[in-house]
Amino acid sequence: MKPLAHDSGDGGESSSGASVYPLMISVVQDGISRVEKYRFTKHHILSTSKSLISTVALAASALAGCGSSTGTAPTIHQAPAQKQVDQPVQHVFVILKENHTYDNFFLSYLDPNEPSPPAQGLASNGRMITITEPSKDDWSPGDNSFEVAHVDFDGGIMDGFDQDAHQPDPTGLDRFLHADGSDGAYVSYGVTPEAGRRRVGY
Amino acid sequence: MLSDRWFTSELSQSFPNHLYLLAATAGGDISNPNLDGDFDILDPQTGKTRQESHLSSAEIATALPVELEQAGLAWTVLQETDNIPILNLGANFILDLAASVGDVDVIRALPDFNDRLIETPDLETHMAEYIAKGWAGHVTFIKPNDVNSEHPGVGDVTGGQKWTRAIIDAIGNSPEWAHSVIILTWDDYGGFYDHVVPPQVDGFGLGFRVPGLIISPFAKKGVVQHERREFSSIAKFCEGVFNLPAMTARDRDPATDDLMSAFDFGQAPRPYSDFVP
Repeated sequence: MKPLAHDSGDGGESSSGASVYPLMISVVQDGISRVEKYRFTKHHILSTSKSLISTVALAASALAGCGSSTGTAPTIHQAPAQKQVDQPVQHVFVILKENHTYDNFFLSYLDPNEPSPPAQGLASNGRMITITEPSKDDWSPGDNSFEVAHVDFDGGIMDGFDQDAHQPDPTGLDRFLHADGSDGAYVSYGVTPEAGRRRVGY
Repeated sequence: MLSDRWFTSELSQSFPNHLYLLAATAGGDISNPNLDGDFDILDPQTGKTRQESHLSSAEIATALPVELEQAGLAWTVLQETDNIPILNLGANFILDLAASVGDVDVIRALPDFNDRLIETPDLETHMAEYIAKGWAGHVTFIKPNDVNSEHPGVGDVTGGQKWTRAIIDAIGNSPEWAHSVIILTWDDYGGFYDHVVPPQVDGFGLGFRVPGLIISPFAKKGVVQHERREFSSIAKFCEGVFNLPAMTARDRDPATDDLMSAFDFGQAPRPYSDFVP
């Protein structure tokens, strides 16, 4: 997929008043040209896949006229001297990744002294939804705002994860906000020990 | 050591949880910044919200970088950026690419703020050099760009975890390993299901569980721990290690675990090879 042109609008207002930034990209795939339109607000995510990010990146670089997708290598200077502390722990490194629950990664990583966690999750109508393995490696269950999280939490009942924010958009107009499958929140990359050990590519 | 009662600090998304990591509070923030850089502050007494563009000392009075500097100690933020600058525009409000430090007035006011907030593309290929040139502070916060973040919709899990492995390898294979603690965690629930009810300790959280892993020569081996932990536990741990004062009700709360039980400082220090499959 190779972009031919790129047009970024000046932004506008959606019906909810949130900022909307239209982005149109002309792409050629298998010799056929088409225009893809994207928009996002603060609750949206820019793209649905790395490949799309690459597309946007290439389009952006083409627009900028630089034609290069590599960043400038930083010059790393020597840090100022710092106080030496004579104790076992002298450095704490915190690596902060994004947006996955314990169950989403580690459901099957059992403590042998603890009861097995449920392989099903509670939904709003009382039904139990079987937790399945996501069908791809960048599975998206939709929104995670304060408001959505509180509906999921539901005062401690934990039965809101099947709300619309985590379901596919039936209109198909908004590919950014919604889940990649029905009941999209109820997935785990470690749903079984086998799944946990599997080397993805999904 | 894997922790299975490690909760996010707030029942919300990235930005407020990043603030808890820095300050054991989000100063009332309940949202990510929008494209104008504004976010929502909730007054839990009235239930009303207001918009702010930064967190003043009235909202966040102090933070780990401030406490460290006052003790003569060093902090570093290593924030990975995208190779393509325009992508950072999109990622800024998803991932908080300024690592939150730029929005907290008491941190931004530190004299060496611009030196200690390091932004670089391809951090995984430069990490070893940053360590070799002395940028491993007493506390170092490491944040990926969007593609390497594992954030659904912008970064896949496989690529993100390869990046994490490269970062940890760089620390583990450096001379600093012998006296290091690596804490690996995820900033919010991302919309995914989790079955454990997060305890509610104030008007903001705790939020849903995320994985919490500790990698260190002194980390206990082969255990899953159940202590109630959240991002304020990291602050509490740093306060214990570096003799710093507590900052908020969260890190003062005896029910907030301080991570110390994850370690056995009497055991033979584990070589990094002990962690490599």
